Amino acid sequence: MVAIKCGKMVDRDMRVIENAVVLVENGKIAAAGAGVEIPAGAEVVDASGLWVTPGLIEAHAHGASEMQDINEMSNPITPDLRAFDAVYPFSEDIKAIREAGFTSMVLLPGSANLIGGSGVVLKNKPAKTVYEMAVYGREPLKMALGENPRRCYTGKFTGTRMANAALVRRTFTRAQDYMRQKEAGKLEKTELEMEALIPVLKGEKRVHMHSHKADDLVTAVRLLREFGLDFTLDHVTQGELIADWLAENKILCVVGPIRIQPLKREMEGVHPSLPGVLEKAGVEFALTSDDNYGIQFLPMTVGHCVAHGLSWEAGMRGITLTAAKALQIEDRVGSLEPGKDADIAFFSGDPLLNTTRCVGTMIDGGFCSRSF
Amino acid sequence: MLAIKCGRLVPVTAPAIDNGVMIIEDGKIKALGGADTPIPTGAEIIDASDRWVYPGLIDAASHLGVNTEPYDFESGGRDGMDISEPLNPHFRAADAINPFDEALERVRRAGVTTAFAALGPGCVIDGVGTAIKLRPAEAACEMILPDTEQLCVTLGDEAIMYFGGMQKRPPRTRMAVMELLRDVLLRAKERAEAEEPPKTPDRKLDALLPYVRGERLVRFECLRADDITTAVTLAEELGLKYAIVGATEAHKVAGFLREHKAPVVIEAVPAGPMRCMTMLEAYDADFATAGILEKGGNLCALTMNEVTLTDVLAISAGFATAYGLSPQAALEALTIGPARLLGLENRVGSLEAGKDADVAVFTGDALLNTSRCVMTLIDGKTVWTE
Repeated sequence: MVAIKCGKMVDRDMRVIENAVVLVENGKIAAAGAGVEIPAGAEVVDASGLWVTPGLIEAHAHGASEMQDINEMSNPITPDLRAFDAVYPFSEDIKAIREAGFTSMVLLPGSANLIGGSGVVLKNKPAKTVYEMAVYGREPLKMALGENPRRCYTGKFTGTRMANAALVRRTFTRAQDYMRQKEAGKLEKTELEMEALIPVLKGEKRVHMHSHKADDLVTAVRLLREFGLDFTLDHVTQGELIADWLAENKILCVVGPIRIQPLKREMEGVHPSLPGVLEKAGVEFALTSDDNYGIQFLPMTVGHCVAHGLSWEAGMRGITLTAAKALQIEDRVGSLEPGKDADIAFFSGDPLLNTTRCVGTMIDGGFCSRSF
Repeated sequence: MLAIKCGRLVPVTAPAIDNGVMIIEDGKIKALGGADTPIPTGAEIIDASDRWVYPGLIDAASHLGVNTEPYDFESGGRDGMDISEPLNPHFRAADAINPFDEALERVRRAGVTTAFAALGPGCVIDGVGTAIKLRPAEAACEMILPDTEQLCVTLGDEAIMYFGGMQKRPPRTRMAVMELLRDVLLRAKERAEAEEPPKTPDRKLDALLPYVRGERLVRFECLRADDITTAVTLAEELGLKYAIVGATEAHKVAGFLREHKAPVVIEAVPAGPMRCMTMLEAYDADFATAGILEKGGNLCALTMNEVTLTDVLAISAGFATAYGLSPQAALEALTIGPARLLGLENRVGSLEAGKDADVAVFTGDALLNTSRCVMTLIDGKTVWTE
C-alpha cells in the first residue's frame, strides 16, 4: 500500500481538493479524497507541496513510432494497416512525453488516407516490446477527409471532396456486403481490408475522423451515421463556425492541434480561442496536440486556451477524463477514482501553467520518473 | 497626444512601475513615469489600469512576411528560400515580403511589433534578410526598416538535404558546405581589399562586401554542436561580425561559446527531434539551454524561428523560465536583446522617452500563458484592440 499525501489533488469533477490523500494498492487506486486516512504501515509519498492529477492522456497522437512509419501514402483505402506494427518502445519521444505527465496516448495512422487503418492505445511505460504498452481491445479506426487525402492522391479517384465521400461510401457498402456473405457462410476468400471493417460496422470499434473544415465535419457525420458507426471528430479546426450544430448532434470531438502553424488552407484561423467557443456552445471535447515530441507542450497550450476563454476545468478534463472517454478507456484511467489504474502525474504547480514542471509520473502504481 | 494609464508599466530597461503613465506624441514615447506623471489636457486616454504594458515584442529570427501561411503545398509558398543554387548572397528578403500575409495580423495581435524576416534555412547562403515593422501596410517598403540587412547563412544538414539528398548534387557533406562558403567569402574579401576598384560588377561578390568588411552582421543558422563551433571559428578567422541562430545543441558547447563571447539567438522552445525526421541527423534539445546561455553571457534573443507560431513567443519564453532562465533575461530576449542584434536599440526594444511608441498591452505577466495580449500599438497607432 502506497499513500500519496497531496498538496492539491484534481478530482473527477476537476475540482482542486486541498490536502487529499491517494491510496494505491496492486497498481490500482484504492481511495482518493480529502477524508482518506493513511493506513498504518503504508509507504508514504510526500507530495504535500505538489499538485497531483490523473496521468494526462493524449487522444490523438503520432508519437511512439518513426514519423515515416505512420503515414502510408500509397493507397487511400488501407483499413487493415495497424499502428500496432509501427510502435517503437525505445523512441525518445515516449520518455519525454511520459516525463511531461502523459501516461496514456493513442498512436494513430496519419491522415493521407481516407481509411488509414487502426490506431493503438498505449500506456507510456518503459517497455521493451509493444505488448507491454498496448491496451488490448482498443484499436480505433483512423479516417480522414479534406485536403490531405485530396492532395496525396490528386489525379486518382480522390481529386475532389465528392470523390472522397463516394470512395468512403463505396468501401463501407462493400464491407456490408462482405459481412452479410460471411454471416451467410458464402464467403469464397478472405479479404483482410474488409475483415478490418466488420468490427467498425458492428459498432465495436470507434472511428477517429480527421477533419478540419466545417463542411468536412458535416460530411463526416453524414457518412459515418449512414453506416451507423461510432465515432469522434478529430481536429475540428473550424468547429466554431458550427459549434451549435456539433452540440445539438452530441458529437464527441478531439480538438486540436492549437499550437501549430496553419500548414494548409483548411487550417487557417487555428486559434486558442476555439475550445472556449466550443465549451460555451455545449460541445464535449478532448484536447490534442496531434504531435509526437510536442505532446509535452499540450498542457501549456491548454493553459493558453484558458487565457482565451476556456474554463480551467474544461481544459483539464480535455487532457484527462474526456481524452480517456474518446479512447474508450475511461473505465480504467482519466481520473483519480477507486478501482482505476494508478496512473498519476505530479506537478510543481498548476499543471496548465507554462512555468510549472512535471516532477513525477506513476503508471500502474509504479514511479516511471520522480524528481521530488 | 495619447496617454496610457497602466496597471503595471514594464519598460524592460528600467524597473517596472505600478500605476504608471506613458505619454505618446507623434508616434514616439514622450514621457513615462508614476501615477503623478502629468497628463496634458486634451490628450486621448487609454485606460489600461488593470493591464500590464510592455514594449512591442521583437522576434529576431522569424520568417514573417517571406514565408506565406497558410502554407500552400501546391505552389510552395515559401518565398524565403530558393534552393536553385547553394550560394545566393544577392537575394533580398525585401523582394519577397507580402504585407497582406495573414500571419502578420495574427502575430500583431500577440503583441509582436518588429521582426527580422530571415531567409532560409536551406541554402549555404540564403540571402539578405531585413527587419520589418509589423504595421498594416500596402507595400513592403512601408514595413522595411532601413539599414537592418543581415546575411543569412545555414550550416549543417539543411543544405546537404536539399542539394545532396533531394537534388543529387553538391554540397553532399559538411566539408563541401564549408568549402563553398569559405571560397565565396575569401573571394569577396579579396575584392573588398583590392587596391584598384573592380572593373566589372559581380552581383554575388558585391553583395558580400559589407559583410566581409565586418560592417554588417552575418547570422549562421546552425543546430548541431559541431556546426555551431565551426561557424564561430570561421567568423573569427575572417573577422566577421556574426551571431549564431537556432543553436539547439548550444548547451553542449556552452564553455566554448562563453570563451569566444559568441552572441546566440535560440529557439524559445526547441523544435525537438521531430523536425529532424526529414533531416540527415537528429539533434539533442534541452529546455535548459536558454538558462545556460544566459549564465554564459551569450543569450541575445529568443525566437520562434517561425511564421504564425511567432504568436506564442512570449509564453514560450516563459516556459524556458521553468528550466533556469531568469524572467528578466527572458523579457530582455524578446525586446531590447533582439533590438540590439538588429541595430535598432535606439528606436525599439524598451519603453523610453524618444523611442518609437511600439506597445503591447497584456492582461497580466506576458511570460505566463494565463495572460493574453489585448492591444497593440505601432508608432503610436492602435493597430489592434480586443
